[in-house]
Order: sequence, then C-alpha cells, then structure tokens
Amino acid sequence: MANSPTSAAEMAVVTISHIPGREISENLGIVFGSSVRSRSFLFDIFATFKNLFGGEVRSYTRLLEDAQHEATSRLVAQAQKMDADAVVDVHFATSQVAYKAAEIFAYGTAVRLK
Amino acid sequence: MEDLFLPGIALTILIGIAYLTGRLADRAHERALVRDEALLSHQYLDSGDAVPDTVSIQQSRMVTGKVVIAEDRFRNLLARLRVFVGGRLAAHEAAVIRAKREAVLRLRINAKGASHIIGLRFQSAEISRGMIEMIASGTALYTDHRPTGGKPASLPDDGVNISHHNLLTELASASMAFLLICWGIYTASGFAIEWAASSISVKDEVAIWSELEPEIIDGHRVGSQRNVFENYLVDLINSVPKEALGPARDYDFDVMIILDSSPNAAALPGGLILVNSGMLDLVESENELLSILGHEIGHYNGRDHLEGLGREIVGVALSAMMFQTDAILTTWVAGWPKLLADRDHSRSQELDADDWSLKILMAKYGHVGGVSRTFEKLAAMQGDHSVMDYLSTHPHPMDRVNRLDDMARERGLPIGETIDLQTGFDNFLKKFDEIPAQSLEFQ
Repeated sequence: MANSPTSAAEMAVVTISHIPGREISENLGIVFGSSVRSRSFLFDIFATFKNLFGGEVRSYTRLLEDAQHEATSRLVAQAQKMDADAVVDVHFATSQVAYKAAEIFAYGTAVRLK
Repeated sequence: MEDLFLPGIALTILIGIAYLTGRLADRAHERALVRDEALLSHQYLDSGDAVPDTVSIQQSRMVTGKVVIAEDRFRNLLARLRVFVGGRLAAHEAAVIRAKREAVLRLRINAKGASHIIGLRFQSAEISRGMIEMIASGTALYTDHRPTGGKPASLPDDGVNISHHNLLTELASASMAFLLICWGIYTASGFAIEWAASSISVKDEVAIWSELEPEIIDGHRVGSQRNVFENYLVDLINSVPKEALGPARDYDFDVMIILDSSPNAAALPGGLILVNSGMLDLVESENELLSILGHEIGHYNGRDHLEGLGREIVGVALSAMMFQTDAILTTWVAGWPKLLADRDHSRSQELDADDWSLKILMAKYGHVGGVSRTFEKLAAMQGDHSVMDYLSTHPHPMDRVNRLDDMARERGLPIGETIDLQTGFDNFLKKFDEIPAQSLEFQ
C-alpha cells in the first residue's frame, strides 16, 4: 500500500500552510516518509563518466525521482494511518547515509479538514 | 584460496558480532524512544510557519535537537552490497527513522513547557560515512494554552517507512545478486582477456616485458647474473629440441630460483620462469626437473601467464572502482565469485600444461619416466581430498598423477630410467668445462 502510485494522488499534499478553498479543523502532528535508495554499479559507472564530460546525470535524476516518489507515498501512508485528510507544509530534505546512496525524506503536518 | 578462508572466518565472526550488537543497540534505542516520548506532555508540532491565532504568546524561541547514529559493520556491509546491486537500502531504513525521532525528541525536551513548536525543519549533516546525522530545528511557542487530550504528539514510527524487519533475508538476497553480478563480470572479462592474451605475439610480449623484468630480477639476483644452478636449468630447457617446445620456442627462457619453502613454480611474462627452492627440494631426478619446467613452458603455450596477469588486473581494477572504501570486507566478498570464475578455467590450464610436460620429456629423453613423480610427493604432502580441494585453482596432485599415468599408458609412451639430479648437474658442469671461459655468462 505504501508504495502504490495512486496513494499519493488520493490525498491533498501541499507545500503551503493551507488547502486552498478548505479550512483546517485539526492539527494531527508531524508525519514523514523516508526512502533510502541506490542505483546499481552500472549506473554508478555511467555517472562517473558523465562527471568527466559534464551534463545531466540522468541515472541519478531517476534515483532522486524514485526516492522522492517513495518518500511521498510513505508520507501519505502515515497520514492515512492517522485518518488525516491532507498534509500541509510539506518539505523535502536529503542526506547521504551511505556512499552512492541517497536518502530523501518528506515531512509535513497532517491535518483534518472541515 | 587460503587468502579467502582465514580472513573469512575472522570476518564472519566479526560481522556476526556486529549484527548482534547492532541489533541490541537498535532495540535499546527503540525502547528508549518509546519510553521518553511517552513522558513528554502534549505539544503541537507543525512544519508550517503560521503562528496559531487562538492563543496568546508569552514567549517564543528557537529550539534544536541533534543526533548522530553510527551503524554497525554488518549493516554497512549490507548497504555496500545493496548499493552495488541497486535498490532500496533496507539496512539503514530503521536507523534513519530513529535518528529523526531522536532529533525531534531532543528538540521537544529543549522546548519543555512550550505548547506549540512551529516551523519544524530537518537538516542532515555530513560528518562521516556510515553515520546518520540529523538536526531538527523549530520555534517553540510558550502560550497560555495547554494542549489537552489525545495521546502525546510524537513522531509516528516504523511500519510505513521500514520495509524489511529481517535483515538476514535481505543479506541473503543482496549477496546472491552481488555474487552473481561479480561472477558474470569475471567470466565475461575472462573471455575478453583470453582473446587479448592470444593476440599478443611472443615478440611483442618480450619487448614489453624487457622494460619491467630487470626490476623484478634485481631484488633476487646479485648483479643480474644467473648462478650455476640457474644456468643448468636454462641449459636443460635449451637442450630440448626446439620444435617440441611449441609456440614457446620463440622465448629466450630465463630461470630464477626464489628462496621460498612452498613447492611452487610460476611462468612470468617475457619467458622468465620462477622456481621456488621448496620445489627443488622435492626433485630427485633431472627428468622431474624438466617435467616441472615443461609444465611452465606449457603455460606459455596456452598464454596462461598473460591471462593470469589480466585476471589479476581485472580483480584489482574492479575492487578499486567499486569498493574504494570498505576494501577489506567487500573485496573479500568479491573474492569468492572471482575464485569460482577462475577455478574451472585455471584447472583446465593446468591440465593442458601437464600435456606439454609429457611432450617435452618425450622429445628430450625418448621416454616419460619421472613425469608424475613430483606430483606424487606433493600429493603425499597435501594429504587426502578435502573441501579445500573443491575450491582450489589447481587439481589435486594425486588426480594429476593418475591422469599423467593414464595418458602415458593410452598413448603407449615408454617409461625409462630417470637420470639422477646429481649426475645431470655433473654432466652440465663437464659441458661447461669444454666451453671457452670468455663466453661464460655466470660467475
């Protein structure tokens, strides 16, 4: 459930402090989703070559996309567990927990709407 | 192969200990978090910056919470394998969540008495690889309003964010994939190396190697001169009819004796054959000696010496490229598929080289007496078949004895009297007396 692509679409997830047109009734607290991922050695080699000549490293962009998607899905899954209607004030941060692996985490405030 | 077993046992024990201590630390932290989070009074946590308008604020100030968590060697190894294979790093998932919960917990302890914490932000630091650093910051609002009811607001844990609870399953799947990929690389590169080695001519090889050879020899030989016994060995090779040597006849062979008690010999590029003194100690007849040298010459004919070099280079390059850090552990793990990939190839090379021993002995003496004698002695030293033999790059010496004897029988090769080593050496010295003194290379 946490990783199904539709779960993120069912709930309003915004980076601002309100859902336009709706009123927030209750603050349920912080929720977050985290994803630690890597591409395989093959993509790492491609990326090393890309580093010689410059240009977008598509394999790592893809890694960020995957990780961000999973982190958001997990954030939504947590909010659903709390019976929230939306997640507001969502922020993203990243950290390097292991060499050639990225952690993306999304955090926000789960709220109920009137 | 022995290089893999002993460190392997030590590393397995260390990783096992790391797995247990890591698990204990993991559990202890989890329990401490649950306990401490329950002690805190209810606070509103908000990642937004909006100041609630329903309360009157008495005071506001910035609060932070920081934590650095180190992961154990087991989880780091698991992560390295997963990074190589690609995918989700289950090893670190639990710790990154605990780090956030701990950072928020510390932030809330710093904000004791505050009813609201707004503008909550997370930031990671980079202090050291393999450590998880987390800083949480926010603004604590001290208000007249006391949040009531419900359970204390804490960060939701696990379930959603942690996909694997059993890291041993993850270890099994990640290492299987890792081993398969490495084995594939070594096997594929083996074919490429075989092709490359067969397309380098003896002439080119000698030309390239003549640049490097003096450096290798310098450490072992005084004044780059062969000693009498080394001259005897070179003379022995040169006394074999050229056409029996196969393609290796183009080499200008050199033999160097290395003071090493292990019974071993090696073929180096450029026609330099190394023989350990431990090998010579086993030899009783000139025929055995030529059988050993003939085996090494067989390696030159198979271009095995270049392939061996190429395979080593691939091994070193791969470990340098993939595992610059954590070299001991990952190189050790990567050593196994390399061993398996090299094993079959190397064994068939050894058997092919044995065939050349037979050919060369036939050409020189007209019989193959003594060809398997050294292997018999090696087999006696090594003992019976064991698990180690299964992984060895060389066939068991007793199997080689049987094979050589069978081949000699099948081809109807005669087995004659062997020449005693002392007699052979004396004959060489007599020949050396007949050579004019000025043409002597040795002291």
